[in-house]
Order: sequence, then C-alpha cells, then structure tokens
Amino acid sequence: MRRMSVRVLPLLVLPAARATPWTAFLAAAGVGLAIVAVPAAFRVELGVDDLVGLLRAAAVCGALGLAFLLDDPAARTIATVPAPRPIRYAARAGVIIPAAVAWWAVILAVTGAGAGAALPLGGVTVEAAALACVALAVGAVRLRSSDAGGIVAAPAVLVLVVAASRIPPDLALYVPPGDDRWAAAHDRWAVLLAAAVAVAVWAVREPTRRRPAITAGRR
Amino acid sequence: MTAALAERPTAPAPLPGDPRRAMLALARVEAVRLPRHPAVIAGLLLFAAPEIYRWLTGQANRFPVLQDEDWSTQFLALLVLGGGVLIAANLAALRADRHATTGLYDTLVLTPPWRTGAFLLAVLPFAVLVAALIAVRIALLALLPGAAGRPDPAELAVHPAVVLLFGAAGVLLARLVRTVIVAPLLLLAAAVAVYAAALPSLPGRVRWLLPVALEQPPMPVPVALASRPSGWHLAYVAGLIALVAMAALAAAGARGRRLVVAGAAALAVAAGAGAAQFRPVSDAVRDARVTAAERPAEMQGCRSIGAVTYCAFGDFRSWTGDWDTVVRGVLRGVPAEVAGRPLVVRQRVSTEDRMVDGQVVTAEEQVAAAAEWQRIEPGAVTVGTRWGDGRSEMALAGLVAYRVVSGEAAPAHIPVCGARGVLVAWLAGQATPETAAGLRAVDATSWGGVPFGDMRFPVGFSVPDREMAAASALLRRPPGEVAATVARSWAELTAAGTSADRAGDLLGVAVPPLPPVEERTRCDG
Amino acid sequence: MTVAAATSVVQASGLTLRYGRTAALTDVSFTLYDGVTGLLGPNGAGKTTLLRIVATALPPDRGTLSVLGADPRTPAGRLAVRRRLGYLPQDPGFHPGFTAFEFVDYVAILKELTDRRARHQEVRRVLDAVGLAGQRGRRIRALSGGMRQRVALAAALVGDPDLLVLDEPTVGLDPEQRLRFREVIAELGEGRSVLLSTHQTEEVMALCQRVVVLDGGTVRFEGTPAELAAHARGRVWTSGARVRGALASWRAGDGRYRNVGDPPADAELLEPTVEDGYLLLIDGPADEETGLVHEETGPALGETGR
Repeated sequence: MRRMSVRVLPLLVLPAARATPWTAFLAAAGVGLAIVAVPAAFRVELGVDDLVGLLRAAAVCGALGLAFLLDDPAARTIATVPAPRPIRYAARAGVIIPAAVAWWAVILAVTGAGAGAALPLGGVTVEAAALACVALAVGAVRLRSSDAGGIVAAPAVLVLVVAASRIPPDLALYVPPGDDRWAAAHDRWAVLLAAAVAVAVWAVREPTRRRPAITAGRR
Repeated sequence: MTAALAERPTAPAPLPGDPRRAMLALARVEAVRLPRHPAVIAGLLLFAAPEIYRWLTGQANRFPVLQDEDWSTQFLALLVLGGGVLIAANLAALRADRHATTGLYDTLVLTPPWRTGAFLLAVLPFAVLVAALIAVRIALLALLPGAAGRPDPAELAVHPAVVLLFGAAGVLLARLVRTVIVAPLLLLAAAVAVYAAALPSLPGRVRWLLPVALEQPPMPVPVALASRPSGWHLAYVAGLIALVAMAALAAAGARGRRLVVAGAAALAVAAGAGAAQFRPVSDAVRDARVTAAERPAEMQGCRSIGAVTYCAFGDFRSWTGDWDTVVRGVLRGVPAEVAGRPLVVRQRVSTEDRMVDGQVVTAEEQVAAAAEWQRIEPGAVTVGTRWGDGRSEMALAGLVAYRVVSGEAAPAHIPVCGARGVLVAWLAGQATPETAAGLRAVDATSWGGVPFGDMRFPVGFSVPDREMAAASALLRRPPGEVAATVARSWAELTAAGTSADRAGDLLGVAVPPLPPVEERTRCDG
Repeated sequence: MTVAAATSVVQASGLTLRYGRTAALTDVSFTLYDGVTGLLGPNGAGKTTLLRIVATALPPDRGTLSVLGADPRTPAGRLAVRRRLGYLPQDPGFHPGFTAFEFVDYVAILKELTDRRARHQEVRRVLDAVGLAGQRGRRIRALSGGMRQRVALAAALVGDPDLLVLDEPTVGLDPEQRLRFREVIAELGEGRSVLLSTHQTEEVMALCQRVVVLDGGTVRFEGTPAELAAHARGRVWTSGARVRGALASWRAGDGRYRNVGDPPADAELLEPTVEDGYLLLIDGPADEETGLVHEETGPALGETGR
C-alpha cells in the first residue's frame, strides 16, 4: 500500500500544481519583488543594513503568499481517498517549494546585484525559510479543522514578525548585520525553522484520533 | 412550537425602516465584532504589552519629552493597530464572499453602498478607543514628575487617524479585490514605504506624503523649535480618510452628486493640506532655532543651587533638580574647596545632525567646532535634552568631572588619558546609581575607550580602556574612602602630565599594562 | 384570509435568460397564487435560476415579471419586493463564528429592521418558529446540517415576508427533520405565498396546492398536484413480470411490477401518483404541447422503452 502511494506521488504533482491557488502567492511574490527591485532599478544607494531590511520585507511577502498555498476547496471531497494525506501534501510541497525557492533566488539575485558589499545572504535565507515554514505550518494546522488556512496563517506571520522585532535585545531575532548577536539570533531562527517543519509534518498526518492502525478518518 | 407561524404576529412585524438607520444598526454590530478580531487583539497587545512590560520592570524612561513621545509611537500604531484594523475590516467586508452568503444577502433590502458605509463607520469606535489609549498614555507620561515639554494634539490625533485610514483602506480593498492576501501586502508595503522614507539619504520631505512621517531627529528640541507640520499632516490624513471612504462607497456602487462633491472636497483637502506640509519652516521657528543655537540664554530660565547655576529651556525646567543630583554626586568626590567653585550647567540643543553617514570629521574640525560651541558661553558645562536613560546622566557627570578636573569645559571629543582619565571616569561613575549604570552600559558596548557626552554635540571625550579599568576597580571600593585618597593627591592627580600608572600608585589600584603600540589610544590631550 | 388562487402574487411571462451560450430559461410563463407552490424538475432544469429571478437576485434577459405587484427590474420595484420577500438559497452560506441569533439578527438588519428591541424580538420569534429556541446562543459551526438549514429558514422568515422563495429547503435533512420542515412550510403557506423548488414528488404531494414542472428551461406543466397525477391516468398498471416496452418498470414492495407507459389492452390499471405524472412529463418524448394540462394531448409512449 505504502509503495503504491509513493508511486502515485509523481502523478499527483501536475494536478497539485493546477489545484494550487496561485493568485495570492503571485500577488505576494510580485510585491516582494517590487520591494527589492524598485531601489535596484532607481540605483538608490543603500547600505548593508537597508538591503537586509528590504530582503526581510520581501521574505515576509513570500511567507504571506505561501500561507495561502495549502488552501484547497476540494479538501473535504478528497479527504478519504486511498492516497494518504501526507502524500497529497508532499505533492503540494513538490510544487510549492521549487516555486518559492526560485522566487527567493530571484530576490537574492536582484538585491545582491545592486549591493557593493557582501550581504549575509545565508542568514537572511534562514530567516526567510523560517517565516515561510511558519506560514505553511500554521496553515497546515488550521487546515486540519477548516477549509481555509491562509486566512489564519497570513495574519499569524505578520504578528510573528512584529513580535519578533519587539522582543527584548537578549532574545532578539531581528538583529542588524554585523551585530555580535547575529550568530546567536540565527541559531534561534534555525530552531524556529526546525520547529515549524516539525509542526508542519505533524499537521499533515492523517487526522485520526486513535492509533494509526485504525485508518478511518475522523469525519 | 410552530404554532407561532400559523397566525401572523399580533403586533405588526417591525417595518423595514430607512437605510440610514439600518446602516447604523449594521455598523453597531460590526463595531462590536471588530475589536474582537484576533488581528486587532494581537495589534493592541503588541502595541501596549512591551511598554507595560518596560514600566513593570523599571526599564522605562521616567523623563519623557512629551513633544517627542506624542509622535514617536505613530509608526508602531500604523504597523500594529492600523495593520490589525486593516486586516479585520478587510475580512469583515469580505465575510459574505468568504462564507458564500452573497446568494442570500444579494436579495436583502439594504443596498451594497449602505452596507459598505456601515463597515466604514464600524471602524470609528475602535479609532475612538485608540484615541483614548493614546490620550491615557500621554496623560500618564505627563503626570510623571520628570515629564518635559508638552504634547502636540495633532500629533496625538494622527494615531487614531491612521487607524481610521487603514480601516477604510481595508473596506476599499474588499470592494476592489476579493482576495484576502491584498490587505497584509498593503500593510507590508506601507511599512516599507514609511521606513524607507525615513532614510536620511532620501530627498526632502517625501515622508510627509505617507500616513506617518517617521523621522530620526538628532535629539528632542524645545517646542518652539519643532518644525513637524503636524496640523497640516493631520488634515492631509483626514482628507485621505475621506477620499478612501468615498472610493469604497463608489466601488460598492454608490453614485450621485453628493458623493462626487464629497469626494472632490476630500481630494481638495488632501491635496491642499498635503501641499501645505511643504511650506518652508516659519520665520518664528527659524528665528527660535538661531536663538537657541546662538543665544540660548534668551530662551532659558536659570536656577542656582549652591554654587552651581542650571539653565534650562522652559520645557525642560523640571529637570534641573535631577541635574543637580548628578552634579552634587560628582562634587562629593572632589575636595571641598574645589567643589565650592562656581559652575554653570547650560542646556544646549543641536538641530543639525552631526552623525549623518559618510561625514568625515577631522580632529582639527572637531577642535574648531568645540571652540565655536564654547564661544557662546565659555566655561559652561553642556547638558542635552535627553534624561533618564543612564547615558545622559553619565554624560553630564563626565563633562562636570572633566570641567572640575581640567578646568576646561569643552573637550573636542578627545581621549582623556593618564591620571585625569582615571579620575574623571571614577568621578562620573560614582556620582549616582544612574551614572554608574550608564557607564556600565556604555562600557559594555564600546571598544578601545568609553565615550562620554552625546556624539551629536561637538563636546565630549573618551577614556581609554586602560584608564577605564583602573576607574572600574576604584568604583568597586567605598566611594568615601576613595574620595579621601583623591583629596590627598588632588593636585598631582589633576595635573595634565600624571600618568595612569602613577594614578594607580597614588590610589592603590592595579593598572593594566600598556597594550601593543598599534592598539594604543593616541593621547594628545 | 384570502381565498387561495384568488390573488396572484407572481406573474411571469416570457422569461428568458442565457448564461453565455447556454439557455437557462426559455420563454417561461407562470402565475403564482397564495399558498404553497412546488417547482419540480430534474437537475439543470433551471429551477434555481427561476427562483433567483423571482427573488430579485438575477434580472432576466427578456420577459415581464411582476412580484407582489412590483416590477423587480426597476430599483424601486426591487426594493419594494425585497421588503416583503424571504429567500432561502439552495446552498446558503453561514458565518461559522456567528451564533444562530447573531446570524439571523444580521440578516434582519440587512432587511432594514432598525429598531433594536423589535428586531431582537422578531429574531427570537423566527428562531422559536423553526424550533431553534434552545440553540440561539450556539455558534453556527457547532450546529448540525439540519439545524443550519433551519437557521437559514429563520433568516428567510425574518420580517414576516409575504412571499417566501425556498430553493430545495429540505435537501440534506433526515426524514424527521423533513417532516418538521414540511410542517413549518405548510403553516407558512396559510395566508402567504410560498414558492419552493424540490426534486421530490412526495414533497409536492404533501405540501403544495399548486405545482410547476420545469424541464430544460421551459415550463412543462402548471396546475394542481392532482392534475399532474391525473396526467398519468390510464398509463400506470401492474404486472407479474418486467415490461420491456414501458417507460419505467420496477418491482414494487408487494413483489409485483409497477409499470408506467403505454399499457397493454388487458392491463390491470393503478391509480397514478404525482411521481407517475412527473415521470411521463419528463421522460416522455418532448413533442407538441406537453407543457399544458390537456390530458388528451399527452405524450406518445410505448416505443420509447429503455
């Protein structure tokens, strides 16, 4: 059964791509791109701090867009098909992750092209990945009990970002590049990323109340 | 159970009323729902919780400058209160679409423009709540004994105005686009725009065309010197609110002459007030700035406590007692005959930002700037317009100590080495618990030496790490004991040529060995 | 109380509506009187479109329509209709976070019931009427499908409308709930006009004074349920074995076959039901004038077996 499910995965990718609600992601990706591209196009002289700020804003855009990508109006209809829930989400991830990575690569390329000094791209990418995974994880958790995850995940991302920029300095997440706390802050971002991935993996399990031996869905 | 239906209700069923009243009834329902939305609750928490936390843990500044406090929270209000309302109002206006109730609602009596009007009105009570919140905050700050200056009502009113603007924008977006992602993206774009407009590299006053003008002035200034066009900006935002609201009504299908007239009026207000913000700073303010820079005494009141005279701008008069505590603390460590000499502490402001990126200042320019600074009043010790953060206390204590030890008042950001450096740092650190805390905080974040004085003033000095280490060792001892030792060797310790090692011998503390040549601070002074 | 069939509440003639190239309604004419009228038809017959037109949610492309004496195609007429209309859409959405009371109250406001106390009283009345007195404070997300349907009916009833348009009100209800619903609707029909769409012929039998059959966007029948049943008189018979040539032939509970179609000469005829009439109307060949109630021009049958 399991082998069968895995074999079904490549077949699911194309339909998953078609079923994914791209509008929100494209809108968010466009705004994110505009945020980094406008200063680059007008050749605004920006320091490393400001460029990192732009990348962070673009990362929030990306996370907002990703928040809506797991939404699926047909979720209830296909809740009981033999292909298990994790496989269906894996197919979605197989579509979403390459799209998000490609977009982020463009963002980094556009920003990096205009920067004189070397930007801490690795650290900012960890931040972006953590935000993206938090968005997906919150969406996935919400989708266990509802049809629309983005509606909760997107505001949650915003709240997280504002909260992250307001926490006391010794636990800071957003630190300026070159700061002594940069490494420690990015350890925290990595922990957040790992936690978000763990939550997301938990959230895509089949929603059963008892042990997985009983395969019947809850609904 | 169903018998109620057989006869029609005896009292005639309430007759459908006029749409205006229905709109108000709807606005009432929506106004109750709006503050219950998680995004709004989260916004309120993010706005208030950190500040409350700071007060509870004693980290808050008890010496607020009210003409700065009135606008410094505007960006945060835009981000979390405006953002929360934007999302909540957008979701509320899209509720019928999101939950597929349009099929039912489309056949109900109240027409879409009136419903949209209700969503717009529903933001008002929350804006009033925000206004109350802001008013309570500033009132509490004003009640503090250390409060200085006075708040500008127009700056305060921008907070609820931004909330209204973003609420109306949420409704407008819902009428234009049926996708919920647009509202958070608009918020993000607005935040980036406001932040970017505050960058000093950006030209002129573009920032005033945004809902909130974020500025990074070098320091608070007396009210008479303030040049933020707050009244015009409030009118501009009010015009924007009306414009967005009219646009939302029009997008919902409202037509008619009154809407056009109201829209035109809103546009005129927004354009007129928007342009008026760019009027040059008034002559009165410009004159006041020149006076404050050249002849500060004309705008100040002075008060003598013992041999020390404190001169403060009117707004800051309440601080003189606290300045005196610090000055007394410094003088406690020096011999009585020195402490009894007359001293003037004068408050100064600098409206030009000396910290602009890329501006290279040579030592000669520093000296010239310090001399120019001192020309106004030779011998007076400079105190700034910030207080209560530890660093300001430490800066005043340091400058007073330098004045007492060296007899000069305006060091041009020079390193103070040798015995003088040890003594000045110890005097400043031992003055009050606040100066000690400020010294620790600055020491922890500086490298090579500890700077005393605001970098935005041309006067200040630094004490190299080696001298600082000796001073720190002294600060760990009982101050009375050290003061007695200092008094015995006062003449030698304050002489310009006495080395740090000699000071260590005289005061009985270990002085670290000299660092390698390339890491040494150049001590010319 | 007015005498049924005396006052016409809705008069439609020549209603036509197209969705792009698809004709949803073609030249639909009918009259609605006080009492309960059933709108019967297969999926895709245009029932929902017709109901939405009557409920002012959709303007027809062509044709004239008078609802409660007003023309819903003018803004003033539409407003006049909406003030006296209750509408239950086929798939009513709900705000899951609202309580039953809040939702119906919200609809009441949108119906411009502005006096707060009177409105709340009215909301309580309609919730009581649909048997939700005990569930007023519960959030809609916590209600069962049947309860939600009753909330939607309560929303339609707010303001005591003169015309109720109910689109498949009993779909998805269990038999007991369906009975309760019928009870409510039947009572509503006394003194008001109720237009309801349904797939279920037994509902028409149980509830409706009049019935309109819609198929392929045209009216195929308009009359009383008895007349619709009478349409099949002489075309329903029983036999011991499946009849191949019949329009429908199924083994009934008593073990014998019930057949609809052209009976053989010696057939043992049965009393027809509304369902038989409906079946003949819809499944019969759509030839001349079948839309009218003339029994002698019924559809030719027999050779069109399955």
